[in-house]
Amino acid sequence: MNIKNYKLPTLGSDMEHAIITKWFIKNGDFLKKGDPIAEVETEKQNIEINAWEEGKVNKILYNKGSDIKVGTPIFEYETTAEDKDVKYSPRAKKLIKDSKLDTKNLIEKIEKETISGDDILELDNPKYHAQNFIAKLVERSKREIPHFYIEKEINHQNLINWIYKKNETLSIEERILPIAYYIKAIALSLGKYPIFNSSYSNEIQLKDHIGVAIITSLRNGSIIAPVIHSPQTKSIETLMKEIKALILKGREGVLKREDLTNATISLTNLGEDGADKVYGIIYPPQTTIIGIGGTRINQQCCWTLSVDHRVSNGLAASKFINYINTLIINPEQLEA
Amino acid sequence: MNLKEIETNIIMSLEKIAPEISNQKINLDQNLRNQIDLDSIDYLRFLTDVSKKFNVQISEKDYQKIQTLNNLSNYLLELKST
Repeated sequence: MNIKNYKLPTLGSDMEHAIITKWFIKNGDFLKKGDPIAEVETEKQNIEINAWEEGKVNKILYNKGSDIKVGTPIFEYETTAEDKDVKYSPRAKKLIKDSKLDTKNLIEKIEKETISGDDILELDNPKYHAQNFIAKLVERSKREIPHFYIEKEINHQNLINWIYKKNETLSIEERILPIAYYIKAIALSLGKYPIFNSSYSNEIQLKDHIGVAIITSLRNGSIIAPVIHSPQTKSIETLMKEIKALILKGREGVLKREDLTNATISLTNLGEDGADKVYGIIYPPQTTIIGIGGTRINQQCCWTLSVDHRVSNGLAASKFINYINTLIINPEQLEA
Repeated sequence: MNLKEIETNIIMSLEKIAPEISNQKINLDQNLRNQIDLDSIDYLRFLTDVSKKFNVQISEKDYQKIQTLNNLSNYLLELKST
């Protein structure tokens, strides 16, 4: 038997510390590789950390709520697993020395006996972290959240005509895209049906603030979710400016902490040429994600809701999506 | 500015948004947005850049006429010569 320490792993090259928000283990538990250990809150989002190898939990060293630096031991465990005997190329050794990463933990993920410089570079790649991060989040979402789905065909003709008319008088820099109206409609509808603007972890918590995360794909294939805060209080023009600036910042990789945190609901929008519908995966601890499909014949568009069934039900979700429908077909109501 | 110069300038604007196209051949007669995967925000940014560069206003009702690189180049040539 070996006694080992489990150290707080880094979950991104810029992560320096995290707060333990939930322990999934207690002293005496037996762990298998991959078992959930704790939920931690980083500057970006909440994320789950897992066991690297099997063992028995000896002693948990920190209480829930503790703010911990990367690399600090958070619990002690007994294991029969031997340390992996790996060899490093000289270039890999140098890269490990220069890197801020907790390479020991990350190297567990490389199933190779000899680790090359390229393997290390791949681990240090922000795209790897972003994908890894989203992968963990959606995995947890599908494991924990009982999703249910509803959809509604919404006619966008009035909205398209409305925007077209408005854009005639605007210079190209000021031109409006439908997404500004979508976000305003969602925010106003949340005001009426606040249950969809909530979080769930053991109990339902309604949020005072509204933050709509726009799921945006980057040209390298990864996704980001920048957040528009309090859209219900902003004009369409302001929203459009903010959306453009935020997405540009996202594409250039210069989003700030406030641009990525405090989302209370998410929106995934396939764009006019996209597939007919999309059913999103809820981003915990949020409880709703809205999907907008591509534009079909006669400006019909399919909106979907994926909702956490612990929080709401089909009847309430129908009312919510019907209200969004009313706003989209009466776009003048979104100008106020 | 002749047609070729206009085209080169348009491609420079595109490369700002989609840097990876610099080593890719753009089909002159194929829909630009689909070819380069521009979403509506990318496309608006691209047209804004083009309109500034050529000092023209591109009205939304003309979007239909400028879907390919060839169409857009000719459209701009015409605007500049009137």
